[in-house]
Amino acid sequence: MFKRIVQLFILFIASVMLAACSAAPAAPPTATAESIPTEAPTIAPTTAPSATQPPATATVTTAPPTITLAPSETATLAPTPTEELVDACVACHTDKDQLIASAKPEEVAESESKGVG
Amino acid sequence: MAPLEPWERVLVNNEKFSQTVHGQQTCISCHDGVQAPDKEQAHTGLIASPSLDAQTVCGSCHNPIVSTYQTSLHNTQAGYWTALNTRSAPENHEALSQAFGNHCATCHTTCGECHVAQPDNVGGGLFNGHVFEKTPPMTRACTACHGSRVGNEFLGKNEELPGDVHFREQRMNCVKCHAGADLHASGEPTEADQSAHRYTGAETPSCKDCHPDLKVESNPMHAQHGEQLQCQVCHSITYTSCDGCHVAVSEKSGKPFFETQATYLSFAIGRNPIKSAERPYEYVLLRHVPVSAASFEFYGADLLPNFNALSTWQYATPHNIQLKTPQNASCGACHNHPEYFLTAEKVAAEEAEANTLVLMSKLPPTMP
Ligand code: HEC
Ligand code: HEC
Ligand code: HEC
Ligand code: HEC
Ligand code: HEC
Ligand code: HEC
Ligand code: HEC
Ligand code: HEC
Repeated sequence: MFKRIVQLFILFIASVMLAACSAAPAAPPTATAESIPTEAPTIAPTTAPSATQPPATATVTTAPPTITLAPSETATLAPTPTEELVDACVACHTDKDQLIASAKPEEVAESESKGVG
Repeated sequence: MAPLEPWERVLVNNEKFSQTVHGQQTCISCHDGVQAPDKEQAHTGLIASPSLDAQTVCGSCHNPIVSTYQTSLHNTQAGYWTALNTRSAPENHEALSQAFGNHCATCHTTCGECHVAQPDNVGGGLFNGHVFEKTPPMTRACTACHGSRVGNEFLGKNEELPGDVHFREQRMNCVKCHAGADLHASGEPTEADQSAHRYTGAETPSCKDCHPDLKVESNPMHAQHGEQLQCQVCHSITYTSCDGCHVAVSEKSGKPFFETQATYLSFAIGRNPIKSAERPYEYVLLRHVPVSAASFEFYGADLLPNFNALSTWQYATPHNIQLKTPQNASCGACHNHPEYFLTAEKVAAEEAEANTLVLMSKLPPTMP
């Protein structure tokens, strides 16, 4: 019993660390909104890890629910990870490379408007 | 606002989103479309902006907000119609509706454009991997639409002019003054559709909400003019006006476009065109709005036959408040200084009649 608790605890710490690593680059505080707009878009950093090592992202995606959720909610949420694997919308919209590949070529149509709108 | 790559606009952070209330539903339950690995196929029947139909998509859980929002100006754009209807006649309505659809409807605002993704008119783009944000991000939501005038003034982007004291010194963002409840509207069935505009009813917000105890005894300016002059007359600096917007549809690309003849910095104290118990000021700041009698010429001749029914210099509340301004440096810095006042010579001949009610007939007398 005690061993199991220790195991769980280690697992917990590990996933917290994993989650922390993956969350860290995404951390630009909400204050971005309040500061001057030349800043990098908030979503950019989160994409970096998945671009370099796609498999790692997959592990991370499934990890957080186990730790952050209260036991009662785990029941309702548990199926989600499996669903995610088959949900084509999620699969594509979380995969930068696939989004780049399927994006329509940017229209070069310049606005013909002149002056301030 | 930094431009986003096409993929960045649509990249969902499902790690975060799936842990939120809104991420519990499937994508398809809000966006329609079909489960398929191929993009075109998956997007069959796709609804890009689910919150256009907020009643269906958000209403089951956010009902008070969804129903009051129906009456908000962001949703109805009644301010545009108030101006168009006043200047036109019923028989012009159809042609103007077409123009409105081509040029004005792009500023219609969905829930999602404040809470989920950048407005369509700047090309969209999720704020935060599809997480619904309680506080709309200032530069990616509000000033994406209100940028060229309000945003530039507030953030100090007009050359050589300081930003608003509330931003410079207090780092206040838009929603510190424009609360959710105000933007979601009260849902009161006001005269909304007929005469609503940005300044209908009480000031929201009013400067006095936060500055209820202004110095009066120790400040002769407040003592003398605290009631008669709108606060901005003394506490704003030069702000943006525009002239002569024309709209048309391009023959080349088939796309609607506009052309503004001039955009310039201005400062003009004049008479209050919308004086009421709630806005009792005798004198207010006025800005030139970009309408001209020929603005909608492309859609038909003389579509604004009652052009003169509203002034072209209109009630303004610039977002560049300062404690000290050139005109409030002393009583004499303002009195009898023609550069600060809207007088007949400053108004274009063809707009003279429209502006008779707002012009200063005489300047306040010279003072030390
Ligand atoms: C609760 C309803 C809801 C769910 C569930 C939902 N969305 Fe959205 N989505 C919205 C809203 C609202 C917007 C903002 C657009 C609008 O309505 O104004 C949006 C915007 C988007 C955009 C950005 C469009 C742009 O260019 O600005 C994308 C991409 C997107 N959703 C994809 C998804 C995917 C993929 C899923 C599933 C993981 C999903 N959505 C689940 C409601 C939802
Ligand atoms: C199934 C019910 C449900 C639906 C449908 C729903 N919401 Fe929510 N929404 C909630 C709940 C519950 C909260 C409070 C979440 C919290 O406090 O974390 C919330 C919070 C929010 C918030 C504040 C975000 C925050 O973090 O506090 C916004 C903004 C929002 N919803 C917008 C929308 C919009 C727009 C739609 C329609 C596209 C929508 N919601 C649809 C249940 C729902
Ligand atoms: C998609 C474009 C768009 C976005 C995003 C947007 N607005 Fe607006 N806003 C408008 C338009 C258009 C009007 C004028 C409607 C009219 O006059 O009929 C308006 C009107 C207003 C008004 C005056 C009317 C009222 O309801 O009080 C205020 C204040 C305002 N916006 C503040 C904001 C703030 C603050 C934000 C960000 C939280 C914001 N807006 C986001 C387009 C937008
Ligand atoms: C013009 C911008 C704008 C639009 C459009 C808008 N909201 Fe909001 N909303 C706000 C602001 C501002 C707040 C308050 C944010 C804060 O206090 O930090 C807010 C707050 C909320 C909250 C959180 C309320 C709370 O007390 O926690 C919900 C839920 C919400 N909005 C739902 C909606 C829905 C649903 C729609 C469409 C029917 C909508 N909003 C349209 C600006 C907007
Ligand atoms: C210090 C308070 C304050 C802040 C911060 C603030 N506003 Fe305002 N805003 C006002 C006041 C006061 C009015 C006039 C309200 C009235 O008379 O009914 C106003 C009116 C408006 C209007 C309608 C009038 C117009 O000029 O079109 C818009 C739009 C608007 N604000 C947008 C914004 C945006 C966008 C931001 C953030 C960039 C912002 N405001 C920040 C106080 C503020
Ligand atoms: C939501 C609250 C809020 C609103 C609305 C608001 N202010 Fe302020 N204002 C503040 C705060 C907070 C400060 C900084 C503390 C202080 O000096 O009172 C400030 C500071 C100022 C200052 C600088 C004072 C100094 O001593 O440096 C001036 C001037 C001012 N406001 C004028 C206005 C005017 C004019 C309006 C209406 C257009 C207005 N404020 C609306 C909250 C507000
Ligand atoms: C006739 C010009 C004038 C008018 C009108 C005016 N002010 Fe002032 N206000 C001043 C001057 C001058 C100062 C002091 C500047 C200095 O300290 O050098 C001042 C100071 C202030 C201050 C900081 C000191 C204090 O009293 O708390 C605030 C806040 C302020 N004004 C807000 C307002 C508001 C809100 C209104 C509208 C109800 C308003 N003012 C109307 C000229 C004016
Ligand atoms: C930012 C501009 C401004 C400032 C600063 C200002 N005033 Fe005025 N004043 C006006 C305007 C506008 C009128 C109205 C003129 C009219 O009704 O024809 C006026 C009218 C007056 C009048 C009535 C004059 C008449 O002929 O009816 C007096 C008295 C007056 N001001 C005194 C002062 C004093 C004293 C100060 C300094 C403490 C001061 N004003 C600062 C703009 C200003």
